[in-house]
Amino acid sequence: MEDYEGLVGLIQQGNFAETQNRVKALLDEGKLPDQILQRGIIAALDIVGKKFSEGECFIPEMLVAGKASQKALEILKPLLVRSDFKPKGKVVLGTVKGDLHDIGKNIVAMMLEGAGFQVIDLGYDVAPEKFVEAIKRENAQILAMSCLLTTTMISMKNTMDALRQAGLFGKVKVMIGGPPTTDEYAKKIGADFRGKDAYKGVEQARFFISP
Amino acid sequence: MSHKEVHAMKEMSSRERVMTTLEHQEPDRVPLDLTITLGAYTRLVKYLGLESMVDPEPKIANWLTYVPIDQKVLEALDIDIVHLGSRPPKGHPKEFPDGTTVDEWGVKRRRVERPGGGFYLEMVENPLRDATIKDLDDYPWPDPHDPAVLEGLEERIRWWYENTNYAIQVWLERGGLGEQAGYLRGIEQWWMDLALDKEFAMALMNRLCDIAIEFNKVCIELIGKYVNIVRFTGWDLGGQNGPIFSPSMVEKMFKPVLKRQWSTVKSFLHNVNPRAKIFFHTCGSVYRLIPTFIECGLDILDPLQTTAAGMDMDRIKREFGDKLVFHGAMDIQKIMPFSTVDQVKNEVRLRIRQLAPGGGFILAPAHAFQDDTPPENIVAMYRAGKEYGRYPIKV
Repeated sequence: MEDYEGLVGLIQQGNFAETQNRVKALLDEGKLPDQILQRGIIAALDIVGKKFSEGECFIPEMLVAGKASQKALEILKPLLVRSDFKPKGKVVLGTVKGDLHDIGKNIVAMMLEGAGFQVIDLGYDVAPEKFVEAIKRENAQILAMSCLLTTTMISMKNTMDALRQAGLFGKVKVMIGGPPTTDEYAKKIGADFRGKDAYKGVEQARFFISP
Repeated sequence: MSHKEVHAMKEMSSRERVMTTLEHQEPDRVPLDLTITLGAYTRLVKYLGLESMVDPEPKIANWLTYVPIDQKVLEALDIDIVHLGSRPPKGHPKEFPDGTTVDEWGVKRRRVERPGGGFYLEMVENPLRDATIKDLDDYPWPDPHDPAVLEGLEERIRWWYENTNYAIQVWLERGGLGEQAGYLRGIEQWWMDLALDKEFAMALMNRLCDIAIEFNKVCIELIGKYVNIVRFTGWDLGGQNGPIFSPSMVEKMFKPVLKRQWSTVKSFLHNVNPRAKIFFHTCGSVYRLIPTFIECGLDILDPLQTTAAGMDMDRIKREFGDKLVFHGAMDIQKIMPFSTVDQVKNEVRLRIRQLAPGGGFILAPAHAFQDDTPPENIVAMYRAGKEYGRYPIKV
């Protein structure tokens, strides 16, 4: 486990360059890519996510840890593909129509990717039909939607309606997040889960996929 | 003299009412304040039956689509504060044929419609995204002495001071520190700067603080004597579940610039107007940061987002009510847009009971009303505020 501790620390600090160097060094030592993912990246983001959820770590620190994990994944991804690595599941994700606030969404995307999911990030201001199209195209198991404003929250409902029309309702697990969202709202629109924060979202994604 | 007139004579003027509460004493009733975005305002004007006298679609004042509120609307809702401020420099924001705009800082925005109503002018390009610390010297910063920005400012504010009894809140909108840094860098990049490149982050905030102080100084020399409340550009430090930034980051990085701006501007202000107060808007869960705000010299804290974690009004009043005036507290995430008139009234009663005793409370929305807020809820809030807010508080 010691081998990976350095990497876990570097990701937590958001040290992009050293994170990449450390990943290369671990590969040179003969460590397997999926082990580096599991014991380095997933372990680091789990610590950061948990600390964030408990109010011991804050958004700037979470962002830089997420970015550092992306830097590590840049190196690992091609190797993982070659080694027949199976992602945990596929998540289509985006900030809903009318809303350009994407930092929360970006953190969730990085955390999910760092947790071994394949993430199809549609960006912000994503129309309901774009979500539907991506879920079909990618055969995704999970849809994750984000919003910041009360006046854009309705786009989540509109997207649920589009899922119903496309016959995807019940076939894809839906989670929502963002300040105005509540458990009741999730229930009302037929979403499966509302995440209070990024860490809770990742935990739930794991649960959705678990056999 | 009618009964009504006798009663009216006992009432304080809006300005007296606000000044009394700002000095932590009980006025005749809780003062009321309003900020509102364009679509909600249009509907409110029509609902009040004022559209023949009031332009229901005035020019927006900022990218958040706030609008200046007509005096007839202030009268109809018994609002006590008028919001006035400087205007952007000539030719700003620049408007382009594709509908995008560029403001005096070089930030490009485009209009984004909200499916739930209204629009904002959202950032699409940030001019300092790739800047280094050296680039800050060469950037064409706004000129704090730009005469076009100050044109008419003194006359406008003096008019309200001399011809009405409203308390005057002035927005000096070129004074953003961390928030403006986010617009210049892109918010995500800016938040990463704060974690990874503290030297750059401090250089940028100090640069913005210099501009803010100089601009605030020029304005206060002109209009400080008429003003009750100087409102600094907001800076959201809280999220829904907790502070966005760590307490140590706030202490080490933000506190020095906040303290420098607030204490310097307050000393200018008190030279010309010893009773005037300073006002800071910061959304979200900021309970843990309140002692810092007090140390930096803040008088009025806005908006008390009651839905955010740790924003327990009883506790905040008990712990900080003798040092800070509270402005806001009417939730716009659940209550105002999505509740019934009765729920709105109950909320008003609750917040007045928690925050009004002893003075030091101005009832206002916890952010400008958005386009999803029905006018009947807005009217109900102000009617209830007037009714339940009468001192001594008995609700």
